[in-house]
Amino acid sequence: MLRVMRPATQARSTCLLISPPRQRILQIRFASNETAAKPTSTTPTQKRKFKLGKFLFSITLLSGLAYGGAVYYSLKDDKFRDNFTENIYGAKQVVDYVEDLQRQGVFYDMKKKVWRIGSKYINLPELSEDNISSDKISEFTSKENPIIRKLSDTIRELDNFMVNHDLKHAGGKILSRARDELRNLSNNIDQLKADEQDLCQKKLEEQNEKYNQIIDKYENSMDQQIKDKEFALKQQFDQEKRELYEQHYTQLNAELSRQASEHDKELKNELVRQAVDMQRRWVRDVMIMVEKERNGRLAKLDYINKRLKTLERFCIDNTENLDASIKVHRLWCALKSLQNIVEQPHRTPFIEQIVAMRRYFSTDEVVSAVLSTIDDSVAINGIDSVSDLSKRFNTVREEVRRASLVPENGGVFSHLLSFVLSKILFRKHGLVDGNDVEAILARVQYYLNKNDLDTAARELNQLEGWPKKLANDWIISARNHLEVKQAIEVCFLLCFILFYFYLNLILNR
Amino acid sequence: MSVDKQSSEDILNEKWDFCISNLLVKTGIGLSVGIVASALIFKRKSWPIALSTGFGIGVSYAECQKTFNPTAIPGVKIIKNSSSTSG
Repeated sequence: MLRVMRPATQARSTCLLISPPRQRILQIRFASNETAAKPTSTTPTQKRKFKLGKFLFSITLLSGLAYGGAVYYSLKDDKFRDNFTENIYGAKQVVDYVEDLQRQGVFYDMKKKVWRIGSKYINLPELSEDNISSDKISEFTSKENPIIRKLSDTIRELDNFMVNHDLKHAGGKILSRARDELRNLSNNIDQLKADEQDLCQKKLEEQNEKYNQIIDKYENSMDQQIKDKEFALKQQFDQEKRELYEQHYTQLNAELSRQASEHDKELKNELVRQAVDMQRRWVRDVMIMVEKERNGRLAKLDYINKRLKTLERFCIDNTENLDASIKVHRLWCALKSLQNIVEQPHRTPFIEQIVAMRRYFSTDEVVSAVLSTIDDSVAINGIDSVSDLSKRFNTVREEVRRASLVPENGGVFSHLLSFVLSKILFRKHGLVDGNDVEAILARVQYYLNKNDLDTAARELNQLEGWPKKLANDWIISARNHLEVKQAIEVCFLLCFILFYFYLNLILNR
Repeated sequence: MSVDKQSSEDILNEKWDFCISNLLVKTGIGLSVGIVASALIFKRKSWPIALSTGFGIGVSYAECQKTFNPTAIPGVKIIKNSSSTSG
C-alpha cells in the first residue's frame, strides 16, 4: 500500500512543482504591468543601460525574486524547504539567516517602519497598524497569495514610509488608487486563480486519470511483483522455516541426546544405587530365607527321619515277615517231605530231612526241642508204617500166643507145654474184657484194625513175662512211629500257628 | 541192624532151634560113643549105647533148660522184691 500511495504523493508533488513556473509567469505579467509601481527596489541595477545589461538585470532580478520567493516559501513549507536546501547551493544558509532575522523581529520592525511611512503619505490613522493588518491587509493576506501578500507588504511599507515622511496627504490618493487596483488585481487574481484552479482541476483530473492508469498498471505489476515476491518470500519463508526447523531439530536432537545421556547417567546412578540396595536387601532376605529354609529343612529332616524310621520299621517288619514266611514255608516244605517219607508204605530212612531241619531251624527252640526227641538211629532206619506194624503184629501175636502159658521162670517143658496147649486155645476177637494175654491180643488187634496204633501199643504194653519180651520190639517200633508222627504234628501245629500269627499281623497292619 | 539183631518175637523160636539141634548132636554123640564103647569095651552089649545116648539127651536138656531160663540154676532161687512168682 505504501508503494501504491507513493505515486499519489508524487503526483501531488509534481502538481506543486508545476506551480512555480506559473507563479513566475504571473510575476512577469505583474512586473510588466507594475514596473512603475516599484522604482525604489530596482535602482542599483538600472546603472547599466545597454541591452545586455538589461537582460542581465532582468535575469538577476528574476532569479533573485525566485530565490527570495523560494526562500520565503521554504519558510512556510517544510517539505519544500527540505527540497530547496538540499538542491540549491547556499539555500540552507540563506533560509537559516532569514529565519534568524524573522525570529529577531527585523521584519516586524520593517513593517512598522513601512506602515509609519505609509500612514504619513496615505493619511492613515496613527494607530492603524492594527487596523491595516486586521481589516485591509489581512484581506489580502487571507488570500494566501504570496505575490499579493508581497504587494500588500510593499504597499504597507509605502504607507509606513509615507506616514514617517508625512506624505500621507500627498500620497493618499495614489495609495487609495493603488488599493483599488490592488483590489482589482486581487479580484483578477482570484479570477485567474479560479481559472487556474479549473485548469488545474482539469489537469489534475487528467493527471489523476493518467496516474490512476499508471497506478492500475503499476498496481497490477505490483500485484504481480507482490505475488512473485510473496511467492519468493513464501519460498524463502518455507526454506527458512525448514532451515529453522532443521536447526531447531538438530538443536532439539542435541538437547535431547544430552538430556538422554544425563538421564541415562542418572538412571545408571539410580540403577547402581538400587542395585546396591537390592543386593543388601537380597543378602538380608537370603539370610532370612536361609534361616527359614534351615529351620524348614530341619523340620523336614525330622519329618523325613520319622518317615524313614517308620519305613525302616516297615522294612524290618516286612523282612521279619518275609523271614518268618520263608521260615514257615521251609518248615512247611520240610515237614511235608518228612511226612511223605514217614507215610511211605515201607521203612524209609529220613535222616536227611531231619538233618536239614536241624540246620535250618537251629534257632527255633520249639523245632529243635521237637527234633531232639527223634533218635538218630530211628531216623537212619526209618519207621514202620501202620500197615507194616499190623502185618508184623500177626507174627508177634502167634508167638505171644505160643508163649502165653509159659510161667515166668518156666523151663523147657513149660515152654513145650505152652506151645502144645496154645494150639488148642480159643481165639478171642473184638473188644474183649480181661487181663489175659488172649484178650489183650484181641483188643490190640481190634485197635489196630481201627488204626489206633497208640491205644494198641498201650494195650500191648500191659503184657508181662515172655509175651512182653516177645512183643517188645513191636512196641518199640510202634512207639518210634508214634513219636515221629507226634513230632511232625507238633511241627505242623507250630507252622499253622506261625502262619496264622503272621497272617493276622499282616492283615491287621 | 535188624539183620544182626534178633527180633523179639523170634527169641523163643531160636531157643527151640538151638535146643533141638543140641539134642540131636548130643544124642548122636552119646549114641555113637555108646556104640563104640559097647563094641570095643563092653563086647557088643546094648546098655552102654542106651546109657551114653541118655547122657547125651540129658546134657542137651540141661543146656536147653539153661537157654530157656538162665536164672534157674538148681538149688538157687531168685526172690523178687515186688512179687514172688513160682518157677
